[in-house]
Amino acid sequence: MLRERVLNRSTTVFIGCLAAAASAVAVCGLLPAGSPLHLDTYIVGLLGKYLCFALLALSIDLVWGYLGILSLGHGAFFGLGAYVMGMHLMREIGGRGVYGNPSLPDFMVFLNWKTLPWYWQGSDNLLFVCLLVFLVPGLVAFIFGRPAFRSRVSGVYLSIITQAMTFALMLAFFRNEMGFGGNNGLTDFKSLLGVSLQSEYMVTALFCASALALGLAFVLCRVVVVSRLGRVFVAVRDAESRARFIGYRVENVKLAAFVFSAVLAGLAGALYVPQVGIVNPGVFAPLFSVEMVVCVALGGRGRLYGAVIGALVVNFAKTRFTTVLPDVWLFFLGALFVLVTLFLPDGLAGIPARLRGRLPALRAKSGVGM
Amino acid sequence: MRALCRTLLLPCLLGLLLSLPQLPVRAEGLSLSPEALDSLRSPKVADRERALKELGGDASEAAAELLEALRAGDLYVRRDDSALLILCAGANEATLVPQGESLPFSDKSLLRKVGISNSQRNAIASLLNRRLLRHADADIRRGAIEGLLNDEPADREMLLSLSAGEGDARIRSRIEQALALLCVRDAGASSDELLRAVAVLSDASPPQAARALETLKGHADPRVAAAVGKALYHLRVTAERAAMLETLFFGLSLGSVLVLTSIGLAVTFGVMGVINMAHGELVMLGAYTAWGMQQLLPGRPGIALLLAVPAAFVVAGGAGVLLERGVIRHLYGRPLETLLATFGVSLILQQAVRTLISPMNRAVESPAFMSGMLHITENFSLTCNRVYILCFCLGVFALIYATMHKTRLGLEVRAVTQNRPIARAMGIDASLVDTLTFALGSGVAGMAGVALSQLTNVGPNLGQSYIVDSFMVVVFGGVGNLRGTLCGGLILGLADKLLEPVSGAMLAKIILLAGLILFMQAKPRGLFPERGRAAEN
Amino acid sequence: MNGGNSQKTDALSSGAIPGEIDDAARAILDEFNSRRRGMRPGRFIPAPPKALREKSDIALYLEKISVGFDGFKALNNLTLYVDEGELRCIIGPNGAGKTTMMDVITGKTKPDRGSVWFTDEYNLLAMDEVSIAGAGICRKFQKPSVFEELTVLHNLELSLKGEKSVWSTLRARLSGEDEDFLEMVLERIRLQEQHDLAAGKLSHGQKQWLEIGMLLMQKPRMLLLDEPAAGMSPGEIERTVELLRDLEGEQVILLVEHDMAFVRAVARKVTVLHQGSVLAEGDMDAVRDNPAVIEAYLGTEQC
Repeated sequence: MLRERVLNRSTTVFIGCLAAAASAVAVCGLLPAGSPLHLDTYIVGLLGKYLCFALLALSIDLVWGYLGILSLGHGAFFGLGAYVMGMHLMREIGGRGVYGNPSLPDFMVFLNWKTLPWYWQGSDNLLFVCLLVFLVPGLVAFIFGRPAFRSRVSGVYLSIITQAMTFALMLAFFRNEMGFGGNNGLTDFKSLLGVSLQSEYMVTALFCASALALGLAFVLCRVVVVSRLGRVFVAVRDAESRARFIGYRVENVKLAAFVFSAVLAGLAGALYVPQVGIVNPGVFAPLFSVEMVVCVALGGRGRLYGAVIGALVVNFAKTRFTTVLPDVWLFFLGALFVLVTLFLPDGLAGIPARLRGRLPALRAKSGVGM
Repeated sequence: MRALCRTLLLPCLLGLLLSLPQLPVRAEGLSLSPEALDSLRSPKVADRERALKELGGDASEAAAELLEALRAGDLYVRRDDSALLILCAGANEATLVPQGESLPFSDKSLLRKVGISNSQRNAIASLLNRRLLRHADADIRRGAIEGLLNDEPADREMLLSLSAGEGDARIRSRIEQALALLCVRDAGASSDELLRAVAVLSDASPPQAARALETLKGHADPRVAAAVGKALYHLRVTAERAAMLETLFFGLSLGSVLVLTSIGLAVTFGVMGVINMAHGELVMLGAYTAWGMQQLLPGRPGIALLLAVPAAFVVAGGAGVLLERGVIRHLYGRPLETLLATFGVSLILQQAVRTLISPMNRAVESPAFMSGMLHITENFSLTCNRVYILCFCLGVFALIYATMHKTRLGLEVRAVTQNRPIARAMGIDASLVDTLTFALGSGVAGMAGVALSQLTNVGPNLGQSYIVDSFMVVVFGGVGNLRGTLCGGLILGLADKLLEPVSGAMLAKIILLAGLILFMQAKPRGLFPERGRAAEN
Repeated sequence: MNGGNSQKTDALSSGAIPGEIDDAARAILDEFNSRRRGMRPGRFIPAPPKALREKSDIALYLEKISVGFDGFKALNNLTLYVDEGELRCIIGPNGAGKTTMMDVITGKTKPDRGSVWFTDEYNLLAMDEVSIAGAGICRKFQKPSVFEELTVLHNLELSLKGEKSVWSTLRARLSGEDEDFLEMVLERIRLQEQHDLAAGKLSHGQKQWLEIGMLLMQKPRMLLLDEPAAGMSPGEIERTVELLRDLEGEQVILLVEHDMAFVRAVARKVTVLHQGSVLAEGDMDAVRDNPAVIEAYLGTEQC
């Protein structure tokens, strides 16, 4: 029965499409260069990047669409995951860096550091790093969320505080003394597990890992959403104080969802870094987080697959715009914010339902579901 | 009060004077020995000493001008006839030395520069400075005395004669300090003389006083040693007190900026409950209005700035009206959507400025009355622009407070926010009130932008850096409470500046954020919460 | 130096607490407890007050409660006892403090003074909303408050008594027993047919019933009902009266209501609140004829 509820029709369709598209891309990416169906590694890498953004959008949708927590700082968790992975990739460079120092990353040599800071210890071990990818964003989300939810900071107040958090992290990561490469961030990665990051096998493998992570995260989110806990999410969103009076510790519910969501965002960041080859404090920029939120809004929140669709559409548009008309991108993004909130409160995913004329239910949702 | 006026007015007048174009002064009546002239023509730098010595003894304006030219590297020798010429950079007229005739000239290839060594340059500076000691303007005299107190050598007789002819008490005390410094440095001074000098120096501010006193610490005469110890202690205490006052002032100044940027938000967010993420961009629009006004009125920064205040109110207020009518109106009661939509608007505004004006920062000129210092004590002086902005902030606050509490509009605003249906039933046009309130808040943001343009460069990202802080101030002060915003802004500004020396600027910000979250836990409704039944629901 | 020392020892010797905690000490402890939000019962709990220890059938015990908002006293020295199994009606003019009293009992508002006990087990002032709900004290709000997006069935399922931590909620399944109970509550609140409908689509009266149903799902020991008949048609009121009569005796019910006909129909004992304290108490007729009550009502009507 649980399986039926988790894998309802739309979910099955979604997972099927994802699996089919991902395997097609993977196969085409590995075809020899002369073949007509061959996909350039650049394209495969780009698609893999989109999937990471989709995973981030999914994590935002879980807390925003179901629990009503609009986080404007999820980029921070994405960035933390990314930096953890970036640290490992930095260590993998070893003696191949510009300065050829086998134990210190280039930027530390440049800053005249003699030893590795304590928090870089162990980052050469991939297993340990994979653990940290989950732990660090989760822990930060816990430390941030616990006082915030306990003091019942909610609504726009919470949104603004999350933005302040990611802003503070951005300032912190800009500093060279933090030991994360300052302004330039971590870059010049060479390989992962000894395989070059540029090789088509590695690119395809990373793409598949992203697709797999997205699929798994999607199913996990479905499991949560269809459970009684998922209904408590909606209950908290609709009438927080009622939920409290029937005995739910709302702050714990929110905290658990927030931490889980942060962990997913961290995972997305960790998969993102080897595919783009750089991570810098830009991931902590408030604009990046808000861009992800608008992905969710465009796709349609409270639907999970809407977030994924929104992320793919927005990021595709961003790639097109920034190559063709870079100046227009921010106009477009800004207009997207305004138009979606004014005219498309249910997003792209809500259009079919609208067309089918189930308007009243939806209106109730957008009105109360704040 | 009159003294304050004078201290405020003097720098203004001085600034006006200095901003006038300087007239060229003819080097007439300069009498230099042929040897001195030869020493200037000589290709060897060391030969200049002779000329410098003579020029030092010459009190005429022409000598001063020649020294000035020598220091600035504007003195040349014509290659064909070895004539000395002063040719200012960019000028097409040269002055013959020592005759003082001017002749059109611009081809530098025929000239050889008269070079000087670094030590000679310092000596010239000192010579020039010494002339200023007898200048008619008290401020210029004071500046020259500061130079004497710093490093320049001085002789007793000259200082004594200066002191006798000086009318300004403040400058006289400076001269006395210089004399005391000389005395302390003089190895042959008697104990009594030293005691007197130490007493004078214990009220002096420059670090030289402390340094000179340090050398006397182990003086053989116990009376002198004790007096020196006391004086040093006194100096340290006054210096620390001044540093503390300065920190407080900077805190208040930052606080006033925070208050300015958040008063508008206190109206739109606090009173109306609208989350306007484009608020920072309205501030930015105000700052650009100040810049634009200066482009329209070049060379009149003062008038441009004064005109910019109402202009910015109109520009930002107008933008606010458009924003309210076009976007926010349709999203009342959906705060998160309002947040997103206005964020979009802020992106559009930023990009519009980047595309239409420039992505680069623009500097807005400070008019003369805004630049300058306000000397409160020897050690403690305030920068004028910050003082003015503090006053401006209080003025704007008083204006908004009066508008909200003493006018019909304020009454209607409060009525609409407390109970919209009833207010409408009483015949209030609620939607018009919304628009007007929003315009008011936005206009104030624009005025804040004008103030900010005097402190930082104006750029497309100007607003972004203040938006989070402004929300923090409003929430900290208590939503819906204007007084809370004032206190909250000043407190946060002070806290930030007090923390900064201990923790560094960035950590201070993070500590404040964390502190604010903890504070919200204890008092979720801010410093001045709305109380009573309405607030409970 | 010397003086300070001797003062200290004085304070120590005189501060020794005798074996029996007196009322003043208890008040201090109560206040101390009430400041520790979210504390579970069982720590730092003073002994229950005398009246509770002597008379064991008191369920709800409110004594000398005062709540002030900015100079205005919403509750002023309010003292109220409710017995086990009793259905008590609270009436009073607007601003008498009825809703504030409910807020105090459910932990939403902390009083400035006084003590609140539920039987002799729970010192309510030392508990937060969630633990008070966990103790079996359930509240219906003045405005019907249900989860509009969820179906009627899900609304009831969420309210089911049981472990409500995050982890157990994630793994929760309805047992057969739970389903039977759910079915029974559905029947009681007459919403069987609408069980699959989003709660937002119910009529006002149905929402009120659903909310009562949600309280019943928690198998409460005490129900606090804030104007359950507000906005109901006469037919619906009649059925609500039936429902309440049905529930009487199973648990303590505290009912705040404006509709006098409704009160007359359900109540045995009525308490009149006025300006934050009890004005009169007794059966409906006695209260109605009480001159102080008449004056309070008429007095407010004149305003």
